[in-house]
Amino acid sequence: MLLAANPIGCEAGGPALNYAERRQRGTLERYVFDRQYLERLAGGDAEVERHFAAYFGELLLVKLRGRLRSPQVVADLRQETFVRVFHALRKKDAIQHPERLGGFVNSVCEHVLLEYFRSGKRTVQMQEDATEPIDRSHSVESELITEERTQLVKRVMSELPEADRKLLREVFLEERNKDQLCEELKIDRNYLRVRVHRAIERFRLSIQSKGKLSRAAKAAG
Amino acid sequence: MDHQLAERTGAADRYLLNEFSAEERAEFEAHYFDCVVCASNVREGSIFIDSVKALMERETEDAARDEPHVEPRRPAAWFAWLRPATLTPSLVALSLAMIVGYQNLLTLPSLRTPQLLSTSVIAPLTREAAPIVTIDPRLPRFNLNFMLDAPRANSSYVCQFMDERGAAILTMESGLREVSSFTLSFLLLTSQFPPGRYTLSVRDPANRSLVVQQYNFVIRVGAAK
Ligand SMILES: [Zn+2]
Repeated sequence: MLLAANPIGCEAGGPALNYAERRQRGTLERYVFDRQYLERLAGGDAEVERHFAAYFGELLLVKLRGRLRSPQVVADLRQETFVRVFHALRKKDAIQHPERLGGFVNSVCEHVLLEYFRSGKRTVQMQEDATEPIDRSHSVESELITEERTQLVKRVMSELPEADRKLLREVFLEERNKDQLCEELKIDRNYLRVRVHRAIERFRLSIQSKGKLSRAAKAAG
Repeated sequence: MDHQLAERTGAADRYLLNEFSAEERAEFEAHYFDCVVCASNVREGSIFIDSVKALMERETEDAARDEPHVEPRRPAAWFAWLRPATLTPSLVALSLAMIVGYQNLLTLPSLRTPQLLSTSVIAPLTREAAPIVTIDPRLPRFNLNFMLDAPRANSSYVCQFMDERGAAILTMESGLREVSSFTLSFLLLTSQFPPGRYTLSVRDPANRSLVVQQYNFVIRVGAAK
């Protein structure tokens, strides 16, 4: 299964729509996991499959990257999670509460991770790829989105105070020890988090307003 | 974890900053996979962090490409520390092999820009002043070489960098060594060594209180000439 990149203009607010309503409105950006969604997913509806893969693909990526450094292992375990979820979906009544589909995906992923760690492959894989923490496998579509994101991040970064830019570099690029960094900068961990949060929040706001603009343009065009 | 608690405690940011214990992380994951708002916070935060990393890596690479950093081949003032023995081809080769080894050993973030490594070597502690090492603050990393002349060959050594207050800032193993005299080469993060005085202690891993050799040096920033 090919994983699609997530749309960056995902609306954060507003009422959630069920699958039929979303289909009518031509958007899958807000949704509810209901029985209908599960049935279509199990039945191989390409649109729902794409939505599912995009939405949970990114969440699984974040989760798995928190535990594993090798992009290849992350990709493999994510794929294994999808395979098991699809397998379960095809069994009748495997998922009793459709609204808890996310929780189900998360627990399947936990099992996959546990099995992986128990298999003892961990150290070998982590050593092999330890120097390449960022997953750089992209489709053409996701490269375009990546470029768009980069432009947004550039703008957000240019609006930040120099001290905050430096802090982000130390925390995320250099992966500095945060306690040590706080000591050097004479700040506490809460304040470090506030400054990181401030930067992320600016980015959230800018992608939300960009999402609104592109939807407005789509509606007008 | 419920949504209110997640919001109130800034759980998404804590999660992305890797501040949770294993239990807290599991609790928050169980929540955000089912909570569209928290999932969105996590996803957007993660995209931001990845993009910031990619952007900064690109900027660093561009800066390094525009202004290539070339270490002088001429002996610097403190080059007199160099002992003739370290100039023998076998030791130079050993030193280069170690630099390559360290890049893997230290699991440093990607090093994609070619960079000339310094050939200057710091000798063990003497009564004289610590040599001054000028590093280029625009570059994310710099290399330091230390001449080690141990009384006997150890299989490996524990190397610990300390700041002037004596606080340990970096500790690592040298990896397998088969000779007693060689050059220890390190590739270090510029951000981890702000200007100041430092000490490197090289210890016997079997008896960490035993200092095999100690080196003092001073980091100063400035453009490399
Ligand atoms: Zn929530």
